[in-house]
Amino acid sequence: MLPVEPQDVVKIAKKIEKGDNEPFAEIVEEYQGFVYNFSLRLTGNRENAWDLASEVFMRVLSQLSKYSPEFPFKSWIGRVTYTTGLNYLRKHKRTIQIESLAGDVPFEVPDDGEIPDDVVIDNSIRKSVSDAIQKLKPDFRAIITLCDIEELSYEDAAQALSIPLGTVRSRLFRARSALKKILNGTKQRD
Amino acid sequence: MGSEMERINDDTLTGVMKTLRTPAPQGFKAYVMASVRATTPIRRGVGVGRFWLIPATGFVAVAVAATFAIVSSGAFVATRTVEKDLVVTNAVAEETTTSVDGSARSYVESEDNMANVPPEMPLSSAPPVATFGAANTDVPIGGSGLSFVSNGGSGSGAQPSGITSSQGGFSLVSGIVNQTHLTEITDYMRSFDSVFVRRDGYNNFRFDITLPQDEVDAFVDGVAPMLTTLSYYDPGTVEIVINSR
Repeated sequence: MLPVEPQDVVKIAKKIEKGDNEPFAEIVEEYQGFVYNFSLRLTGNRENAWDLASEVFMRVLSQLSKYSPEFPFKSWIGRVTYTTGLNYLRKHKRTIQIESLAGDVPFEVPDDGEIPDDVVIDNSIRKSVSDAIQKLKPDFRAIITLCDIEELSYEDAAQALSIPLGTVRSRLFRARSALKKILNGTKQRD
Repeated sequence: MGSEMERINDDTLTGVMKTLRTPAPQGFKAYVMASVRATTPIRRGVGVGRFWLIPATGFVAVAVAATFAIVSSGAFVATRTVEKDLVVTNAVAEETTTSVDGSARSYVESEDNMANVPPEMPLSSAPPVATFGAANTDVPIGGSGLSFVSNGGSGSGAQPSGITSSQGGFSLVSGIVNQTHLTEITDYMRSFDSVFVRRDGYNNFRFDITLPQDEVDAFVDGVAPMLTTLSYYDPGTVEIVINSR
């Protein structure tokens, strides 16, 4: 399937306005990974991530006509995810349970009968890093997810989070520092 | 962890984070699109039923306060249960929202239905609108293929008025669940294609599912055992609106 370009989104939005929701499947197909992953990092829980991500897409469906093609759609849907996610966290803060997410990530282990040391270390590190991210504040989790995991540009991350470019840089720096402190066993002070 | 992490430099950390991108679970897209397709009938208006635990004189009773909103004249909304712990009511409303628990409580159907439900469900002393045991009679609902129990109810505002034959329609299965059963129900519901779930800020869930008529009974049989658990500890309510087609 070809990537969904901003102009494609506009066309899909027009079809939805006319009552044809089926083309929305293209958007879900293309962005489900991004939205789910972002939701997973925000909630720290698979069940809630599923819940949030589906809520995001329903909101996208209802708000799609407001999308302006001058902005990348990924940052727009990222903003919807972030704002919906913050509301979700406020609403469910008493019930959300953080779980280890490292097992969600597919990781290839060579099938040669032996597991090399570096693979074992990598798996261990990946779990530690994944768990450490979940200990960060939501805005730090968001910036880490967008910039370091999803590899959005700083400009796109700025649009997704509705913050200035300079704030993206400073927040990312502080988030990475906090992450390293956690990984080194230092309690997060922020 | 600290000694191990000392081996991680910035480049390694950046590299590790790139591997943490998580794909969407299998079936997620189908679930979202089913929700999208289910949006239309949901907005057309269905009923809201509520069940409360009533601890009194050493026994647990189930009370229901149900409100039915009908958008199209002649359509009906039915609340039914399949086990004795569940409550069955049916009503025909006429383009109005009718409170049937005698407390003048009224929930109006909207796009975000659960948002209209008060977050704190009181332990009401109001009598159950209708409770049923083995003595009740199953009555088929026209067009839906469901077996259905009818009762006049005892709530002061209850207005059950029999069963109106209708093409298609909605049925509402509700119950109180604990966390374990809620998880089971969630997993069960995910095995179907056309399911839409909503949840308020607490433990109240609503699933909307669209099924072919000939699959409704099997679905109800499957979900019934999960809806019969009563628990004093952190109970939640589940409503399942079945839209047969």
